Amino acid sequence: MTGYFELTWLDVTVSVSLVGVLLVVVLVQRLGIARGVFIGMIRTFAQLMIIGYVLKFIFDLSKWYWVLLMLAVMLVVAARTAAQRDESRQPGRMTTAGAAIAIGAVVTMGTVMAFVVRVRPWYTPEILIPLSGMVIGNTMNAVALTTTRFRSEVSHQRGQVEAALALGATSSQASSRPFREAMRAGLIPTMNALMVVGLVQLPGMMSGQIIAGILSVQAVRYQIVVMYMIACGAAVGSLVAALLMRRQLFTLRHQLRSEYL
Amino acid sequence: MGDSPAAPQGATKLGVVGLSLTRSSASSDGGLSEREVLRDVTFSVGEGEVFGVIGPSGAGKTTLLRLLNGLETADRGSIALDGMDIVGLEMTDLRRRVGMVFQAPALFHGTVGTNVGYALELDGVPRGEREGRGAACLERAGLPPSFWGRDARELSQGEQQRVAIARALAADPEVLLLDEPTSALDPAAASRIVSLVGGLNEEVGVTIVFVTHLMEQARQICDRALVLIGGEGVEEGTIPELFDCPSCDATRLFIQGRLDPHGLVGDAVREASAEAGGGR
Repeated sequence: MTGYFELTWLDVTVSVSLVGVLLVVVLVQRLGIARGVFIGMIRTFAQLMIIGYVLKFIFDLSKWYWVLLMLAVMLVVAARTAAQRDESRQPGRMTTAGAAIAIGAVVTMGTVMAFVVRVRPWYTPEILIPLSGMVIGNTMNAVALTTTRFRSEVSHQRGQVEAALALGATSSQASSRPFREAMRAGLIPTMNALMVVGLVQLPGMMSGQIIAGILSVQAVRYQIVVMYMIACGAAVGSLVAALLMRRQLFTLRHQLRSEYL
Repeated sequence: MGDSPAAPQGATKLGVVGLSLTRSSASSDGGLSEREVLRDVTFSVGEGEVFGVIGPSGAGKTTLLRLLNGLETADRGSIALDGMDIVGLEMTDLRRRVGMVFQAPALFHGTVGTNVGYALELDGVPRGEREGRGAACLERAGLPPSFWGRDARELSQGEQQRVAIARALAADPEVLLLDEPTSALDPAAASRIVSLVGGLNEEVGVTIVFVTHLMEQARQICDRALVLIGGEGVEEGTIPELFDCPSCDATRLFIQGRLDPHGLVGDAVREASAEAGGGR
């Protein structure tokens, strides 16, 4: 027995009715996001179909440059998403988000591939792509939360920040409280995930194996590694994002650039 | 400048020449609109003086103080502290020498001690000595040392402003900039703060730049003043000169309370001249 229940295309078609419920709620309550729901519905379908073929193609070829190209695309999409959540007029938001996510992901995946999952070759796509995807996705959330929170804290505490500057504090000293608040905001979702993992929601990686009927001690070990891995990515990404934001919100002469708030 | 009648007696502490600043901000149609906040402002503050900057609201008084403390940089013009252009100074050093008290007290979360101690910490005062040194600053600002452990948010507006003054004094500044420090206070508390500022100048010898739109306050404590209208310094002189025989129509109208405060740069002055019937 292969052990799992096969889904037909008909089953998938029926599942569209589930999003139909969302659409009805949105329309009846006049939330004004029906267009977004509709586009999201189509995109989920299209993106997963396409990515299935793309991954199959990359797995079959198993060339390092295809794997890196795939990771680069994931990174750009993540950077764009994180930058879009930040509703300021500051130029270079995407570069900031991209740099923070990239550094977080590279540090984390470098460590994982060098010391934990010592698979050879290092670019083995079946390992590197899904693990990197999880790190990039989680780091993206941490970075987006950190940058938006940093800006809003400096904006709310502008009087105190400038009072500290006026007393002769450096921009790092004057913004230390917003800095900490921003990093804390960026890391709390990851911390919560570490707390409740397995108790409420089974992580995607384990769920997949359970449904596929091959849940093993291996899956549990991988999941533990994944949790620690995304924690590392979030920590590095949030720190880099906060440092870059601080550089951008202040001039080298320790003046607040209020036009970016 | 030395023999100009407007110049201060003795050494010049702050020398300001041709200060101009244009600020751009997003306009409602999404584009950028530019506004000249200060135009060619020149004045000098003597060592140990209480110097007033008076003018209607929106005249650029706050911006002028922010430039003196280095919170913003002018587009043109220069500011010299003891004859040294501030561009050549380390910004954090400049700000310790030229302290600032804002319109709102802007106290940090925590106790009075957190606030005053912060300035002492920046100055490198060891933790153990901070309370002793801080208590002296509180006293100078007219607060008892017992305030050290009190939550800053529980204090009255007047007490909070005194904490802000004590915090600025803790850095031991040579110049203290005060931006309408009484604007949020009731008249009694306001007049006590004004006398406190005058007393500080006498006791500590600190040079003071005092921004206000209230003529009475300027008369009470300032030695000399600059009249700032629509971003332009229209007249600088001693208080009797400005109040009793202003040489500029705009000054006269402002002192009489007849100047429209919302004129644009230059326009206010020209309108004032026209209204007074005297061309220049």
